[in-house]
Amino acid sequence: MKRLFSLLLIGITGMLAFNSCKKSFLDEDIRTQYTPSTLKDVLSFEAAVTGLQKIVRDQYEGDQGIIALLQTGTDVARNGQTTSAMAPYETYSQLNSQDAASLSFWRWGYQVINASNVIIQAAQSGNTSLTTAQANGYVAEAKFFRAYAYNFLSTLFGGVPLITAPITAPKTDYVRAPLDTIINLQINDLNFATANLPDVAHVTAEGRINSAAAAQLLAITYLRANKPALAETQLSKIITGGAYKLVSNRYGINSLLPGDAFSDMFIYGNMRRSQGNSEAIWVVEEANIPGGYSPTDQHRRVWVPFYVNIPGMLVADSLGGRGIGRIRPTNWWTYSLNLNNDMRNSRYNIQRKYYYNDPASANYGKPVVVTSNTDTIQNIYAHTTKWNSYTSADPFGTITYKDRIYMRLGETYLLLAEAQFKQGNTAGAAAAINMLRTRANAPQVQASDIDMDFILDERARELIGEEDRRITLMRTGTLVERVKKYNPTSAGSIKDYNMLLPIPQSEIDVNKGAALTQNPGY
Amino acid sequence: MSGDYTGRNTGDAIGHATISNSEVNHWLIENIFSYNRSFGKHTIDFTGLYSSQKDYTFTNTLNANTFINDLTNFYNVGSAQIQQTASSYTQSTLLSQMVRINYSYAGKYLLTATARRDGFSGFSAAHKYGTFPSVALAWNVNEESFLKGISSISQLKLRASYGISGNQGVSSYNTLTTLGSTQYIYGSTTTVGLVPSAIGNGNLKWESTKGLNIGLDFSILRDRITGSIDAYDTKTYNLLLSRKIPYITGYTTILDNIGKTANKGIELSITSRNIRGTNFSWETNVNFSANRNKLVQLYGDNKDDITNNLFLGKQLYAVYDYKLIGIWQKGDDFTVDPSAKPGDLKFADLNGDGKINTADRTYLGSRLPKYIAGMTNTFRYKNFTLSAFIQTFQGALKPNPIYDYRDQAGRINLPAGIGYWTAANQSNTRPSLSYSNSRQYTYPVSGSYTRIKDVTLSYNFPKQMLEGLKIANLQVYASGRNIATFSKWLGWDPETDFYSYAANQGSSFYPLVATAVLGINITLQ
Repeated sequence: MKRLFSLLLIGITGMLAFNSCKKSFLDEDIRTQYTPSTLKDVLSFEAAVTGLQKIVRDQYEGDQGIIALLQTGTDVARNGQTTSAMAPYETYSQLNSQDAASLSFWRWGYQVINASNVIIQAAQSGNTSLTTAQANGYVAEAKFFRAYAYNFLSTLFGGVPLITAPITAPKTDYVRAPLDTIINLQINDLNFATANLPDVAHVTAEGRINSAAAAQLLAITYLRANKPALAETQLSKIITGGAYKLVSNRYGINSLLPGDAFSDMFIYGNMRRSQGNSEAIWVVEEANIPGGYSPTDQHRRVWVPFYVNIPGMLVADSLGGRGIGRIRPTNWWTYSLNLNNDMRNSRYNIQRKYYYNDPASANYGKPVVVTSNTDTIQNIYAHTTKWNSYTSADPFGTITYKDRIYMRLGETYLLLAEAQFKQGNTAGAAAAINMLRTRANAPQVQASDIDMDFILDERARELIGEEDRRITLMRTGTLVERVKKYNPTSAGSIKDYNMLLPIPQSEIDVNKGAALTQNPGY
Repeated sequence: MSGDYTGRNTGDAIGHATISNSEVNHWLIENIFSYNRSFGKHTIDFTGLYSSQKDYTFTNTLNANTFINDLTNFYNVGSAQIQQTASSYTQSTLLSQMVRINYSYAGKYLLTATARRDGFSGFSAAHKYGTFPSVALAWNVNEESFLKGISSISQLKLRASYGISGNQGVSSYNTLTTLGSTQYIYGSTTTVGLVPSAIGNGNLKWESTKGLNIGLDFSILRDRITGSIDAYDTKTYNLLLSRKIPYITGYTTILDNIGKTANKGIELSITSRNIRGTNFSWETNVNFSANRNKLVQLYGDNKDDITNNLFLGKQLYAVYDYKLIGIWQKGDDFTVDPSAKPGDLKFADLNGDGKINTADRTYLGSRLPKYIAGMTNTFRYKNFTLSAFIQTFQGALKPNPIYDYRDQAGRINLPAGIGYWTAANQSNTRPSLSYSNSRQYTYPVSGSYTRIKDVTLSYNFPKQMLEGLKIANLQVYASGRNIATFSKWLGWDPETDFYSYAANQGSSFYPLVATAVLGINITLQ
């Protein structure tokens, strides 16, 4: 009996001792995260595209001033309340390869590109349950966003490293591809996207990208490639397709309150196509619910002046909520941009007058008197109301819970005017611009008025607060001349080489195996 | 399980509750075979080991906010308007095989030889196992006959060891490329998305250290002086480091095995009983350690890795920056740095190319100290005891970003007397308040300090007084901690390692506290 017990004991011990000898004992079984091999079916690709759009939405995250410096130091604005990231974009002599904003933009761009590449590679792997049409649809969405990121990067930096597949091991020998190569990739990606994306009537959700958005980005890319005729084809397709038309009548949630057709478009609740905005081509949706916003969306804070700094002024919804005055429009935009008899200059679209609004103030109801230089630079100035937003639950408001109109038909006409002007068709360009001026009840223009400067002026009238002005001026190669002309604060420091940003030094340093050449001047 | 609630009484207007549960499992099966035998003056001890181990942790967390009032604390999170849940699971496994032989001769000579092979799940498939042999020798010199008669030496032991040891030092799943989940909206509906979260390293393997340690333990002059001295010379291979990679990859870091470092150092600890009287005694303990660390090899391309702060032939934790030579003053020649204005920092043009740019950055030093030391003096007079502990940290260079927080005045405490440059006060060490630091200079300065860490005075009541009270021991004491710091460091504390701007605004950015404690220790019979 005792012998039997001993044998049993030895047996159990042996089993315990060697059960772990199986080769699989040291294999890893990850249970709380996904891996790229998850991307197999429709549901997982839906999630991957959703995640990609989330990364795209975080384009302006980082230093609070990053979103502002895409406007300041240009013709339309100078720095108001300045962050350290904003300083070199006004005093251009300080713009160097250790610049914080360039690094943020660079990083964001390649995050989008990597996430897109993961989707493209998985959808084309042949190892999924997707139909060809489904696979092409996901590839088209990923290619749109990849092109969007490359367009942003190559406008800011010129030629950048070309990455078209996800990496599997550390790599430190990247080189810059020529600008033509990047632009050709954008053209190929966007041609695929326009052919394979659904139109706005057939997208699975309003917030998903559609073929018109791809056509508009393709047109911008053709303009950069100096192929204005091809750009015009894409833009005409959007305009004549009939799915979009300019908003020329009051509509939406505030239509019975004072306002005009133009201001209706920029009220939260009116901005999406389903809410009546027939111009909306690409709108990034936001809402104050989980997942509904970028972690620190600063749109309202940078555009609305820091008027609460003035004694006798309180946060008010009618003044746009609480701003912190980072973007001070230039005097040229404020006073010299011809906006006479123009709806876009109505009191509903540009707030020019301020009255003390604290009932406890002795000056209650009287016009605000500015007493110092600081007041006029960051506290009280004329501002576009496009980013006005206010939540009574959070008057201090770090985050702006407001949709972002990235592309609308108004800009399509401006791009069309540019494409026609580049082909010498000033009459066509004037007609395109007059579509916008008719809607704005503004005087018509003649073919003889049209040149590149006029088109850029018209963009400043129509798209202030919507376009990234710095990107527009860099794309059209007009940043330096227009800053010298219209922005006295930066006119002295800007140099020709500032037409491109510096390649981030930390990227040059970490890329040990090959040289990432720096842009000239930096 | 733990729960926490903040509400109106702490300034939280909506109320936040957190409940978290963690289940930590650990199992280990060790099969040990041992054999020992003594014959004559020889003793042999043999041990064989085969073990397997599994650790897994499952955690779930429930966050809730927006309560109608604070009454339910964290006991009814379902009553909150918003609830968010999270859970996670991690697992790791380890397999070990080891043989060890101990041999000693007459208690004088000791030998230990060990060979072990360990396998860890967190490494890549081809590199899960590492083999680590070592041998150690010791010689009890005081057991030798030639020292037997010398009573002033009560202990003298020489030790030496040579071998390889392994460091698994990583958590699970670093070999796998992962996608994380995130949230986005379509319309007004929250939707789950997937985003690339980390890149795995398919070549991850053990970090190992090979080297020699020599030591001496002693007790001399009738135990008046006791102590030990250790010296080492080691090389570490395949360091496991989180390595920055180009953002171009879409990622920021990867866990990788990098290069080779050499470490040489000495550590000693000596206790001296200076005075040993019946009424009065004085004892001093000193400890000291110094380490010299050098990066010997990197990726094999003979180049420094600036972004990862790794410089061949230099110490780890490098400080790499411009060399500050003063402040630009009015009337200076600004040719070398046209972006500068009076009151800006003036850097050296180290490569002499006539302009200041990133090529003028250089290795300035290391955040590692040249040496650290401590001394405790204990005085006892009858029932009074006074002890004082002083520590010192010397020879480290540390960035001090507090100089760069000009725009944070009013929100974080800035030291008075930084003495910023103004037209009137033409400082040659501090920039002007309008300096925007576009070159991201980190302000490295000496991080050396000496600190009176603890002074304690105590009184032990005599035993005979306490006997009738059924008290075994009664002590009253007064002690002060962090009483004084001697340092040129400006700001909170030279010991803080603060690099992140966000962390400095957070609650974790809290200075070292000086405390005074009065206390009574009672032990009942």
